[in-house]
Amino acid sequence: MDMSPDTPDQTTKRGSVLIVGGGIGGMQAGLDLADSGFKVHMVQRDSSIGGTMVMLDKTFPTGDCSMCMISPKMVDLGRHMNVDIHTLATVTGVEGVPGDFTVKIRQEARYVDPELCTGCGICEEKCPKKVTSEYEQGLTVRKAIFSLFPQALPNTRVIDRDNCIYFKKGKCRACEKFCPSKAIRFEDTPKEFEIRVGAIILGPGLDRYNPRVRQELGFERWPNVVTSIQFERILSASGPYKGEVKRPGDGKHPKRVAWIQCVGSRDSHNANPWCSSVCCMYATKQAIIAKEHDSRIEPTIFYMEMRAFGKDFDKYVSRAKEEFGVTYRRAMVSAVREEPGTGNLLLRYAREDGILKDESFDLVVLSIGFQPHADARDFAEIFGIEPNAYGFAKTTQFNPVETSRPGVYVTGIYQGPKDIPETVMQGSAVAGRAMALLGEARGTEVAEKTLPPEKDVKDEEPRIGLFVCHCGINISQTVDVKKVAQEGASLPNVVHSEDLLYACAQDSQEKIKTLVKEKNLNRVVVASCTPRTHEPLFQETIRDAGLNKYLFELADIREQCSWCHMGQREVATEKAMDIVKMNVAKAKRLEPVASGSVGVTPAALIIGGGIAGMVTALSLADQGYHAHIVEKEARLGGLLKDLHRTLDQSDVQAYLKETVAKVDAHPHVTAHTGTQVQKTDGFVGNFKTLLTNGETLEHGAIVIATGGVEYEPSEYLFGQNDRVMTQRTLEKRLAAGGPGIGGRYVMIQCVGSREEPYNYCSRVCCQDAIKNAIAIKEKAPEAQVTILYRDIRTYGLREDYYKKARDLGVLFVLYKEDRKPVVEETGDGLRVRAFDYLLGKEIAFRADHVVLSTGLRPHPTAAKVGEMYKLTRNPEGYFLEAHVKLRPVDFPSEGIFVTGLAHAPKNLDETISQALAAAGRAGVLLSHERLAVSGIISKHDRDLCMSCLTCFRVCPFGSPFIDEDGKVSHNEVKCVGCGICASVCPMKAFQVNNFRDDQIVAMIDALTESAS
Amino acid sequence: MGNQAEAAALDEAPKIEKEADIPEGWEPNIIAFACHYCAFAAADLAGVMRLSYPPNVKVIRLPCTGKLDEYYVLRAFVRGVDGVFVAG
Repeated sequence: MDMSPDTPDQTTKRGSVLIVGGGIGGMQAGLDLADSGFKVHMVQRDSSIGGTMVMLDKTFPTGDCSMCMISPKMVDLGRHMNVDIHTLATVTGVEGVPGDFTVKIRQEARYVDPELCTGCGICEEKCPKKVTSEYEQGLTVRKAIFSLFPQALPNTRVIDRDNCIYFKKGKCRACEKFCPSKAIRFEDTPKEFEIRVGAIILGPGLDRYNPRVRQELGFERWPNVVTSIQFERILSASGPYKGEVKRPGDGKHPKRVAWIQCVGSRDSHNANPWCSSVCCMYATKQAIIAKEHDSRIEPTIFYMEMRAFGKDFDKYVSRAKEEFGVTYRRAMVSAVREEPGTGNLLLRYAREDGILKDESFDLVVLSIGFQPHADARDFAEIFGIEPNAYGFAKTTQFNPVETSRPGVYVTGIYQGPKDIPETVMQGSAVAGRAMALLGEARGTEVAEKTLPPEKDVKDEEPRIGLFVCHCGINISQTVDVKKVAQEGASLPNVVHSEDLLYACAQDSQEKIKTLVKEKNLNRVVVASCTPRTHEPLFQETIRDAGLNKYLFELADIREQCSWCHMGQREVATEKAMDIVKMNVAKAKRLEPVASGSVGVTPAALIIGGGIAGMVTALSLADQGYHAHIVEKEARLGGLLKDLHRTLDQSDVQAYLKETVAKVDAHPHVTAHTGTQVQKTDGFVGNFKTLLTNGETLEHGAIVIATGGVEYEPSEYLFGQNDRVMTQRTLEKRLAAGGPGIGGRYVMIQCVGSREEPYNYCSRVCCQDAIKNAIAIKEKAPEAQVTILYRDIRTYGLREDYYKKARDLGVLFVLYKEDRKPVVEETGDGLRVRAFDYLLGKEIAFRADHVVLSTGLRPHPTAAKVGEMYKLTRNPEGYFLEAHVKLRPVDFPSEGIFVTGLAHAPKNLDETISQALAAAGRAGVLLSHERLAVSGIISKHDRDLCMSCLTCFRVCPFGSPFIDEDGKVSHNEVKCVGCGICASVCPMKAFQVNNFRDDQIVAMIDALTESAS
Repeated sequence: MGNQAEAAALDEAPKIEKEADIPEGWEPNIIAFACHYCAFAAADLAGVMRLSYPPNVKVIRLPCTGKLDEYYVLRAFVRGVDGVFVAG
């Protein structure tokens, strides 16, 4: 065979990926890919990346600040050598084949040169034109030259041509006049260019439903009716009201606040038929946060069904009710009218007993749903992919992140409504898919930087260079920068001190490098902005000049001084001097830090051979790593062995068979069945595991896919009467077919779920019941099916099947936890009694079959596995991920990942997404030949240590360990440098690099020089 | 120890300093120890939002408030600081 590279049918794959959309899904995919050796091109329509998440105040159910979580990721992406971000850009055409696509991109003019702009923001301050702010949802104004939000990335401002006075009237140019960097380019034009990539990831995000359509709700008619996204901005400490809960109409503090759910969702007449999946939870979150901001607020949420189906969501709703006094009212609001003169709103709704009621509120929040972008169909056409009936990207149950075009993947809401962690999961999942497609091209398009050798400064006297930044006028209008630089020159060991207009600008960077060489500087202190964003930049600069990057210190005199003390020049200058003093004192004691590295075994251990474990293994194997599946049972397949059809009637058994066959056939997958993990030693990148069958495996990553089991019911006569069965048994009978499908069925939901001690939703049972109900009605239309439910949770696009079941004549009857149905034996069958809330009296159903929708439990082995790897589980026994929003498949311990039911109950398509995500995350780790160990870690001095084990007990990451000699040693690979060990160690045998005790004390002493 | 001895020991105990009157216009000197990931970020955000607060508080960044050693707090007080604020 001719193997020459120019064989016509052989395509060379490219080591780059295009990501369309800069929201959290695209960002996660981008970071995963860039971190594992792929070049990433990110195309974003807005002037900044960030998407929807940056608009949110807090996130459920933890109440974490949204911006605080996403902005470090934005900074990482912005600084990444392997990432090119194209903002104000759209894709206009795609040609080619998987592995090699040519993409046409159009980029709108920004009118500001990003090379020259330092992001100082003076242009924005001076711009005379005020425009309604899109980011603040119309609640306040921005300028015609602006950045989307304060943390925007890139932070280069953009001119809004449609609103710029110069573009409209030919006069003004105030921005140009005041720009100290001469970065304004009125002559800028749109650009068109082409890039070649190996794979394409689509994460364009969402549009929100416009509630103007629902005129009866009074949006834009009554000023105190706001949308949920407006309310996010109202709650935000950085929003238009600085976090004070006020109503837009008159600025008064509202007391009675109502949320109206399903505005734009679950409504096929005026809006979208699907459920938007997140509104129940964000309304709950908003009610809690509003109450936290102002305890006088009395929140009421009007809802149809409380869809708290995610991990720990039901507990969150319980807390909202019990701790925060949130009222949940199951009712549809039919009209909102303003009470004349008060600005208050009168809501009309039907009570549960059917009686109409009018209730007055001070503020109304409309929980608006998601929909694809207005141009979603054109978008699909450009990429040559098939949309579904609603304009979302079409995917299947078994390939949830693949579009109809090979090599083009989808993440986030464009695939269907979902929340942040599911979007992040899909982000890692598509990254994993792209890695598998392009595996051999990894590393071919990324830049590598050659650095000069590091200068040895160990025995040198510290020679500090101090640079004080004006930041345009951001610092210098409040702080006397020249004076700080002058006084700084006389601080101990400072051999050079000067002020710079923009320390971060290219010319200043060059100047610093030159001075390091000329004046033989061996420590550098820059007094400018926050180390959180700018430290890496300066560290890189001094590294380029041949200094170890840890010989740098940043004094924050902007965020923490000039910006907070405006108009107080004298005291602000004094404080800036104090800040400089303490950082110089620390810098004097800085020492070079060696960043070590360890080798990585390119293999993974996957505990659990259910579908989650198998999908993870196959994806990792496709990426080129070896995957070991350990399954304690003789057969692979886990819970899926008992599942026949999905909600959309896809054939589960065929899929399972195909997957098992792939596992058997794949040269890089080994399934170890009928055995368990005995023990694992080692650390990230270098684990060694002994199985109970005596085999030893070496691997760099661990994936926990221990799965779940079905709850075994004891209630409702189960086990006592053969007519009472579970959905699983019914499904088996339906799959077997044959006669006897008809008759009277009563299904009971939430058996073993949503009540103490298992107060969580098992997520799959509503769909299970509806799936089986539809199957019965389709096979035997005369059959009677009644579903007794608490809330039907057919979230997302699953809502279609709820409607289908109703259309087929399936009866849905509500029951509540305190009045559960009762199943009784009669002479010829069963009778189910339940309370009907509409009629206000008890009703009874005759039943030939009672079907119990039983919940899920974590697999009993999870306890042992959790203990073995020191992994935390929630009170119900599901593993706790590192971060519920942004690290949904990681554990805090490096190198260990979680997927499937081990993490929480979920549907098959979601398990597959998460399995691909775990493979993506593990793939990032395994892609490194060597793993860099961070420099900011705790260093352990064995000579001082007396092995009291205090550190061993407190370390959250398990890095101190008992060594072979019986004394404590420290595994620096696991260490994240938090320094808890250092603070508790009675011998001070631990010291954190760059946060050593002598360094901190030097700072304290410098600050207190005048005081003592 | 008998009651008498105990009473004697109490008599000898050093006197607790009397609270001094706070002179007018006096401003305390405060050191804040802040976690890099949250409180330090919050202090930055206060700046980004141009929120104003008195300048007599200076922030020392720690990798985590778990890194705070009692010694830092004591050292600060011994050196004449009026208040220590730990945030993380």
